[in-house]
Amino acid sequence: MLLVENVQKSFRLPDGSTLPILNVPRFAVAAGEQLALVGGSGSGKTTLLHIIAGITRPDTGRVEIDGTDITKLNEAARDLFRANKLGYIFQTFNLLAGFTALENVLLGMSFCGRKPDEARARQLLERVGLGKRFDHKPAMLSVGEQQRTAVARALVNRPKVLLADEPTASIDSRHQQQVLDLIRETCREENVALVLVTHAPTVSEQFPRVERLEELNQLAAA
Amino acid sequence: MSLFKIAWRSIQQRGLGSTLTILSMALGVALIVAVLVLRGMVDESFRRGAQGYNLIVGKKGSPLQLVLNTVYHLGTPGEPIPWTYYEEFLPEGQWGGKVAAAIPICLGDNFQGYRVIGTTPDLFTKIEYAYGRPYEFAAGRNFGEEAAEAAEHGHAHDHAHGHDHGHDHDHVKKEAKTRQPTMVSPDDSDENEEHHHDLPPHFLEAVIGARVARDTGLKVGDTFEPTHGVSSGEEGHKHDPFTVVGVLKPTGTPNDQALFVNVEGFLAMDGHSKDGSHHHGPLPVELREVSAVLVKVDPNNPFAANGIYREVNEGLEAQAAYPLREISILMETFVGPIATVLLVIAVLVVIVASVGIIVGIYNSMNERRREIAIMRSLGARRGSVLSVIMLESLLLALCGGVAGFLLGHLLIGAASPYVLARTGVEIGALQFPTVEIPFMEGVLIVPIELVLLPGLVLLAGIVGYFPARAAYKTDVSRALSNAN
Repeated sequence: MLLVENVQKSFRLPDGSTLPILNVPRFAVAAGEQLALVGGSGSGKTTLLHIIAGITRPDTGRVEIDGTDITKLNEAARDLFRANKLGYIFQTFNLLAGFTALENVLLGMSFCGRKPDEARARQLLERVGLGKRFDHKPAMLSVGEQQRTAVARALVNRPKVLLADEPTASIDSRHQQQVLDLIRETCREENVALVLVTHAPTVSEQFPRVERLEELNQLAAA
Repeated sequence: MSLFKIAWRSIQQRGLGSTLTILSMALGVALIVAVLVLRGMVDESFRRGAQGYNLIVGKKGSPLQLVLNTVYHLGTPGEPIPWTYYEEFLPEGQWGGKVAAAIPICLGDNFQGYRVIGTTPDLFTKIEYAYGRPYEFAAGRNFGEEAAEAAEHGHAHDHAHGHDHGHDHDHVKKEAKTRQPTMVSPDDSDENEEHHHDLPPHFLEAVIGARVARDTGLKVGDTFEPTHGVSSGEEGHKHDPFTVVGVLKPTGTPNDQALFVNVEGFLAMDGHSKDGSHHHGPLPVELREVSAVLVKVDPNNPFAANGIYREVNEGLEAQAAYPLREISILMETFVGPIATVLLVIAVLVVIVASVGIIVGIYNSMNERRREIAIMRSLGARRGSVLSVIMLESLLLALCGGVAGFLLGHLLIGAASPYVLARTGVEIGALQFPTVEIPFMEGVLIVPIELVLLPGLVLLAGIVGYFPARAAYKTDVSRALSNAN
């Protein structure tokens, strides 16, 4: 489902020199597979997620999702591809403050080139336990509820791959497991490949497959 | 969810800032609307007031003063000209062959501050108050012998233009004969007895404007006593009572604020004789004077007005003025520049408000970068986020514009009574004047809203482009990293 091959990325510094960040020879995830990606600060995990999501373009290499090499697509096509095939959950949820829970989920359907399916959005919100919170804005939701809204938003377009960047890091320990279970269960139900970045051993140890970025990224290993 | 809704939500989210921006835009637009509407309406109403005839003839002096005084009842009347000069415009006179109608205008009296004008019934039969709009009576009939006789013989004959007023005739006739002064106090009546003249009843008939009827309560059959002087503040003795035989329908001209009496009765009043002498019948011609003459030339002789204008002005006794030309000069000299200055100020307010939109959006750019990055991560294209910011700017400008249009027209409605009271020019809150498109004068005339609205859209597009461009260039990866 997801194949990252020979991906390299470096950033240009203000003094004109370049800083190599990423060199991943190969990284693959099967359809419906769930894995935890573990790495310390500066290991390049966020950069890798952005490259997989098509937000950042690698200097070299290919990123294939559901049979499409997204590095070959132009920006507009990558945007559309991202809207349709990828879900993204952030550490800080990144809900839009002016929109209700339902609108935040519908926003996820606004750029995929199809008419938003409100029934699907409602169904997902109910699935994550927010059936009575459709019209609540983020400020009126608890932290756990906000993250559950973000989960619903990420899955609303039936993506093939869900990228989760430390989705439980901002949640109190009582709700961490609840949210993690929710993400894994819904991904399983929807047959979505899950790549979850974490540095918490209590989270990573629950996954059948754990990849260490220091091992994937030859630069981080060095 | 549509981009429009996303933009609208963004405006709602920044409620206070958005409201203040809309308010400042509304203020600017309201000022523009108010200035344009007032200028347009004043211009149109002034021009309308001076329609129906070609020339005004009066004593030599300022032609503008002559026009303002005769048409708009503003200022003090100038020196009168001899009645014989007026007669030169009648069929047997020097210019009679070129003239379709010559209407004498005698000024100098008022009733409760409204001007009393001595004139002939021709004013309401041979002259239209605006192109294609003849005077009509809301009640009663025209004054004068012919109209009185028609009423006497029971003809429901409207001397103005076909209005049915036969119902009032018997009542009017009775009142005219008995001359019971309903507006006259017993004390005044005794005093007036000394001044009564031996005049035919129709000499003491009057037709009043719609506003006078409304404000004074005078109606057909009532009588009133003019006071010497053109405004209520002036000291003066009262004259013989005149009987109201007709009330005009509103015309939107200064004539709504005047009382028109038969010139024969007007001249017969004490103090109107050239030498100040007292007469018990119609005033002899040699003792008569007239403030001005409205001249409507023969429509089949279009150059007649130029000829009369030149000949009168070459003489030493009188001047002729083109009312519309004088009004144009007035507009261009006084009203135009003031309106232009106000317009410039109003446009500056709109520009400042537009800058406010840029500042508002830029100030919230840090927060927006996060939102933009989130939208981009959800698949929004660069063009989509650019559109959202442009739409937001457009919506702010349009909301301000619509609020401004409403506020502007409310301001006009509020100013209307004041303008009417001071100038006699009637303007309404729901009047939408037109403007000529530059370089297409006389070809393309559209309501001002049709010019202002695209103008606002263009302005919103320009001011929205700068923050939208910044949004377009947002580094999504960095913004997302910062957000996390």
